[in-house]
Amino acid sequence: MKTTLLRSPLIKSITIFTMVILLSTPLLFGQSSHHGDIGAGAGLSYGGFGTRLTYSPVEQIGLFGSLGYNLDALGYNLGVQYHVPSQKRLSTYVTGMYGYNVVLIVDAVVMETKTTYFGFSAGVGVQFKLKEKSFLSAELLVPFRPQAYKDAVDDLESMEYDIKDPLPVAFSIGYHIKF
Amino acid sequence: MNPRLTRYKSKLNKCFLTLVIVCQGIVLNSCFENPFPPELTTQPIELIDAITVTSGGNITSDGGTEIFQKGICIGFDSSPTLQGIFTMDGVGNDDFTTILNLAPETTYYLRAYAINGAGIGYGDVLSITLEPLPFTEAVIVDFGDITGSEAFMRGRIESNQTVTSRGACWSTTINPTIADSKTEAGSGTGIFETTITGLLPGTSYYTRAYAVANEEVFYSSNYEFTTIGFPQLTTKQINNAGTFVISTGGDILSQGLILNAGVCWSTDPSPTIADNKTEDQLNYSSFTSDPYGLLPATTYYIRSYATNIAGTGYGNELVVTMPEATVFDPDGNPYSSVTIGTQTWLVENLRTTKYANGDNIPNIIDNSDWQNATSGAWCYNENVTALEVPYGKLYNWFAVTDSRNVCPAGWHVPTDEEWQTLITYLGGSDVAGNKLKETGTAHWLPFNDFATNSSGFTALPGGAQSAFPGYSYPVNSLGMFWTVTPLDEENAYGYYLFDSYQSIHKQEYIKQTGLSVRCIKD
Repeated sequence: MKTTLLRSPLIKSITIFTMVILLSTPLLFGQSSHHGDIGAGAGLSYGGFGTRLTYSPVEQIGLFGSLGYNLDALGYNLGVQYHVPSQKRLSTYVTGMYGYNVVLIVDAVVMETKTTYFGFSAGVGVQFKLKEKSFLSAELLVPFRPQAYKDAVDDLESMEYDIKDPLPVAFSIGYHIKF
Repeated sequence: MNPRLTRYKSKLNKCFLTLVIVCQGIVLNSCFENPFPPELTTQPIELIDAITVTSGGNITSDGGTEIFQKGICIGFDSSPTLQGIFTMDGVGNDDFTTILNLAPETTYYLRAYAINGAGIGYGDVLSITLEPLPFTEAVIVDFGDITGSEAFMRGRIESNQTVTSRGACWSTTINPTIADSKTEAGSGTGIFETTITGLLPGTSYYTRAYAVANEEVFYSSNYEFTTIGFPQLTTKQINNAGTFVISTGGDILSQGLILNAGVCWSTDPSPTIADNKTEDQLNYSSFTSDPYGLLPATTYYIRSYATNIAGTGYGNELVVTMPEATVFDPDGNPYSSVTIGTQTWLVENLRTTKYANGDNIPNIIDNSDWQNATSGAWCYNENVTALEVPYGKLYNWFAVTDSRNVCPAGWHVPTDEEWQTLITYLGGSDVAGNKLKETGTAHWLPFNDFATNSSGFTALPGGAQSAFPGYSYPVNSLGMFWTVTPLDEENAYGYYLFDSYQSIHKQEYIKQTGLSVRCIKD
């Protein structure tokens, strides 16, 4: 078998991901959903250039899933946010997520390849309330590169491939609308 | 709500929740799977020939991302890696096969590899030990003994195969093969000797030693050689034409050892050595020939020849017509004549072995008998029979004066007065020598430069057979002729010509001396 899910058609991935999110959340937290938001932005927590859907089953907790394009393939993350209670327009939160973490770009002899790696990322974020139902979100994240990525870099550098080290931190920014 | 129904619904929700969580885990596990290095196996090594193998890789998994390099790692230990020798056999996820050129007598370890964005994947390690490369080498060790048609080769064959045939092949063009001319000098390795035959003289050839092993032919480097050609020569112009003592010869133009040389003649064009011929001594690259036995009033084709180990080469052909014979002696030898003033002389020295009446003139070959002879006799100078042509025979004075007449009928040996008449007619003794002597140096030594033979007498330096032990008068320097005029009981007069003299001189000789004889018409 020479293909994996990562090579599956885009529609299939979207469908599966959406179904899991929609099905599992109400069951986990019952029918006590309070609110959620959906936003568009760029960065790890948006799957690259994409969207992020957040659901807050309780006041300070946000569960989110993101889906976007990371210049290689479909990028997606699942994560959680903890919001520091605040009545101000600017609030902070900490976040952790698992999913699209880094894209390894190799300039090979006859072709350029990009490979998406998945791993855990964590960081802090701020929300800036714009209107009653909209806000801007910005995050500073630290991606923890998976061992598979490190092994690949070691292998490729041993073959004298030029691997560009990614930044040790990542940024995300997006615009969200509450529902 | 019915409590039982409520409990049942609660259990159902928990089951559904469990099912959803399990499905979610499976799906998420699939969705978040990181790529991994390609997985592949190494194709079995196949031996194509002694140093060529094929192998490759069968990609069993691309690791979730595209393969951008793949090939075979080649090593000399059991763990070949990309830090050593490797091939690059394209990109993509397809299986691949590659041809490897390796060194003989070596053990190699091979394994396929593939690289994707997750790293390097290796196949299983396979090994192969190549046998020593089959080799056969042919070398020319020695070459020589080149003649006009043959040459000798000593060759050497080295091989780790079975040599079924070996020898030499040759051609006039470079890189001869066994499809050209060849010899067969057995089989196996080692030294062999062979003789190339059937070559053309004076021709350049290329030759190579060869060996056949496993139906493959192996050749040495080329050796170029040229067979010895036939001698190149020209035929000297005929001297004394119009007489029976014509002379010619040859000048050899080519290099190399000459085994034999002379002239050959026939009444048909293109005479060969199978016809009449002389065998003459080489003087440097030149020789003089005196054809003999030529018949009067007959046209002959004459050309020089020279023989070396290659064969016989011929000079240009000359045509000569012999004169009508004035007279024949009792042996049948023809003579021509020339009239000088009031006298008519034979042009050739006398060669007869019989008196005019047919009686034999004894041939004395013993020096003592010759020196003590009291009757007519003849000999060759130093008993060399080849001197008869052109110098004729030497006679003692007793034969000259024998009443049976040594000259042909109608001719006689001149007296001293008749010689004097000749000399006077030619301007006196001081200058008559040049007018009497044959021109050139075919017979006379090189001091004969001033001879003109204007009289047609054609005096030749036949030398003399001495009457005294220890004395000799070799040919080429002196021409001495009897008169019938005695001086006393023991001596008689004769005349001599010397190579470096322009004159002719009268000289008394012991009667046992052997001198040439010129007859004069009665």
